[in-house]
Amino acid sequence: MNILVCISHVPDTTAKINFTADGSALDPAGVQFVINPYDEFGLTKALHIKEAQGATITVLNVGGPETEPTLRKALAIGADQAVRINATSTDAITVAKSIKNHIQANAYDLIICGQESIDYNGQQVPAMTAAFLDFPFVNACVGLDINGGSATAKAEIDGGHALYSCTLPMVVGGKKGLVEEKDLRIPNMRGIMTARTKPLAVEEGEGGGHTAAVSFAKPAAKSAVKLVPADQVNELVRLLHEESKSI
Amino acid sequence: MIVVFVESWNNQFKKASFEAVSYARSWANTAGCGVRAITSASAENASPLAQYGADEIATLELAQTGAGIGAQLAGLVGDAQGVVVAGTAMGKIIAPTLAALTSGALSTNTTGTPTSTSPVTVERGAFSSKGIETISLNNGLPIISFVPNAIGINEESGAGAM
Repeated sequence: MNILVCISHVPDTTAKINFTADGSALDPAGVQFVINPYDEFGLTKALHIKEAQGATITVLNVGGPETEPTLRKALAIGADQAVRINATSTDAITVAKSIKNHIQANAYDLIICGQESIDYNGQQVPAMTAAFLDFPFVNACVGLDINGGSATAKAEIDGGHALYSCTLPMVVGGKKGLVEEKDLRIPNMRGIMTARTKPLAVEEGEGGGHTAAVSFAKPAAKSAVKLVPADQVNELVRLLHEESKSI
Repeated sequence: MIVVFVESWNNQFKKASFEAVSYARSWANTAGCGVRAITSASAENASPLAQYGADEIATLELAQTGAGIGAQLAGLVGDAQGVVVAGTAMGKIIAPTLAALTSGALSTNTTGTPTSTSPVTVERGAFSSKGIETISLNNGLPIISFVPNAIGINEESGAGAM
């Protein structure tokens, strides 16, 4: 079985986020970059499948040379080979086209993506990739069983879960629950040593873009908590309707 | 026309459904055009969408999956100036599928209505809510998926033609 795991190169979840002086981009100074946490669940799941029934795992990132350490970490965790598609990664549709092009040139049975990356929070690339390829797609995937040429996937939906049966090849947008956090794989010494010699190929990606970031800013500081007396229910309803827009 | 996909559950609408129509109405007012709502709810249940700003209401039998609905919408939005989809679990599949099939320009996790229409420019959350991105939708059909509860519901009557 051939599994493709798409990896995003993102700021660490604990990183303090600052933007450049002109607000045009993230200021990378002092920021540690890591594998997107949602993708880590997908990579560990791929390793589980490999250990259960045999598979070759390819990890792929769309980005510049600065993302290669993140790909090497994925190799150290246990992926067999890596591909970096040389392109900017700020426009989802061009990222998805680049991934689509790679998949069409190579035979994969299963494509696992994280449902979103923690930098742009788009939740766009996995669905776009599936649409371009006309592959079955399951988002918010919290369970996946592979049986020969088909799969059963469990997804979070509004108000509960749904179970889907799909034929392979398929695309999955995974999240926590695909594997448990305690089962996430981390690199060991042997993995780190072998990662240096595992293949990392570079391909050219799509250019252009349909969207563009105009500026970035930090959100306004949160206001103080409002305490509403128990006998002022009407005021509570007004605040929930007009200010928090919750009802 | 701004086309808005209005999701229903067992032929009933939730707050996100009305919020989607309100969002489309706000965008249409800025763009100087009307609002066409597309839903799978019955005509009888769909008629109240007019009070949130729908000028036209189309009721259709829709596919069961988000990808299927996205593909159906791709065939229905040829004359649209923009498309609105609420960021529900289903909407998070519909919107990117639609964008891929129409080569559209998509903003997800959107937290505000368009501040400009040429090009369409909106604010969205980024970096796990540690940042706000202003994004312009430059090439292709503008498609906006907004965060439920970020916009609110406004009652502004539309023509409501079925």
